[in-house]
Amino acid sequence: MDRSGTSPAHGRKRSTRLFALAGAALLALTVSACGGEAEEQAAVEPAAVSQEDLTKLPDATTFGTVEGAPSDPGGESTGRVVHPKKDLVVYKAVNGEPFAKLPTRQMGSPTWVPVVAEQGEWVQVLLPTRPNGASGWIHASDADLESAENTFAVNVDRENFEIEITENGESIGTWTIGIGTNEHPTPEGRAYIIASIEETVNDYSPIVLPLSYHSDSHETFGGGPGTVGIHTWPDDSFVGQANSDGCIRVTQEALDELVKLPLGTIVNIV
Amino acid sequence: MSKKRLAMAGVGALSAVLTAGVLIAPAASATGGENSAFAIAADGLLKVAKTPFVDDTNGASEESVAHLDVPENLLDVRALNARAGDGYAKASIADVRVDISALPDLGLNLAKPLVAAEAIEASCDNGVASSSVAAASVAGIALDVTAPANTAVEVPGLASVTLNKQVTNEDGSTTVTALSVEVNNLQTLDLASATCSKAGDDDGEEPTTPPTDDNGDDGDNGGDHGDDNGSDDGGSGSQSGHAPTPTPVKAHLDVTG
Repeated sequence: MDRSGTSPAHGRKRSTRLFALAGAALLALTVSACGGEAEEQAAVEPAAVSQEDLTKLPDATTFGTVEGAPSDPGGESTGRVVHPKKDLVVYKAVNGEPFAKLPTRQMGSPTWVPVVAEQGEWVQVLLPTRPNGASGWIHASDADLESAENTFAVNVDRENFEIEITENGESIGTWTIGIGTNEHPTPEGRAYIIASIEETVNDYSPIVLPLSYHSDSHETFGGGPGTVGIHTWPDDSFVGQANSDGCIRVTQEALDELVKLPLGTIVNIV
Repeated sequence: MSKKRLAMAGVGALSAVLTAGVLIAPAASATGGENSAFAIAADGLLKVAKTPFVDDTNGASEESVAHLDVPENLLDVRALNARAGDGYAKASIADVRVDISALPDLGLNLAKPLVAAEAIEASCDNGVASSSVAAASVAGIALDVTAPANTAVEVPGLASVTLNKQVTNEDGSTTVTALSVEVNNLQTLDLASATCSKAGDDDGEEPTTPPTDDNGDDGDNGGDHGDDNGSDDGGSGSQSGHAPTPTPVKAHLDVTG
């Protein structure tokens, strides 16, 4: 799904308007990098993207790979998730180069992505693609973006084989889990829940919660792209063990709570 | 490069493709779901099974193939993707180069590739179809990025080239194929095809909006969202209710166990 290299003409095509906006965008970026207030630059509108350029942009799904995407900047969660009501363009920066489209669905579930930074009418969101931690900016003043508050988060402590759900920062439950082997470790980082799947083929778990992260050691797995998921397991052999292929195995009791979490909920894996 | 050599390559290409296992005809597709998609298919002197092919027999499904090529430059395509689910389907493909005119039995004598494109995609959503192509050409003739349904493209020497081909199927579903080529009744080539019907429940909009419990009135119920970084008019996004509890959706995805 790497198509980011196929459209070097973007910059040239968006000539005059981009030029006019470049100064403001640069300033906005500078301010953003310092973590300061950026209201003055809030009015920066995205450069128009032609239908032809849109066609070239890869879809940001768990099957996709995007190159040149900004990495997750880290920092505190904004507690906000957004849902595109139509395919939205994802930019490398505020008014930066477009590099992907964010579709309205992920594996049949509505797309909800966590907001990790905000700058005026732009939001930086985490993406479900490879590489792990890929993010991008979308223009949020668009009426095609639905926004909601998410007070939940999940913490995964691999060393202690523990998963925790928090609400407003307060722990509301912890459970013992299983994680990936040393050969196929559960990747570390700030992932999020991309979909809620009532699995129709694999029978090890009634519900599977695929995460935005992918295995570093499995380029593909089964017929899938190596997506790391949270799910249960038919027996207790996983509890407190590192014996999965990278997924996070949880007890049914834990899964029963995890499936209630909104899509886009952050899963911090340490 | 002689035509004879290319003709030999055509045969070799087919066997190579089959042994590679990438293009094994998807047996499960025979029954098919109402919604389906594939990125490429060819029949005739060059045979390529629908690749990747997905349908919604097992719920939402998606597949990708990074790169598909046939030796001797007969075919070289990348980033093939297909996905389908209740009421939707989409197929896309990138860096397309199809040069099967080099097969002498086709009776083609083209100076340019039969098809070249940077990207091609077809999408079908709740029965509404669309498609687009980027930097695309057929036998060197540039194609419009978007075209009305069933736009015929005149290419001397080719039997039929249809852009944004749309068909209503017997079951009421709609199939859109971004680019469909037929050569002298000897070869067909379909690039980016999506078939969908109207969503089984409701109107195709998944249960995205209804927040869980406490804000039946749309969103701005005071509370604690006013602190979202103070950006000028709170104009980012629309409203800020609580994020909804997801409804599990029937689907199949092989995660890393």
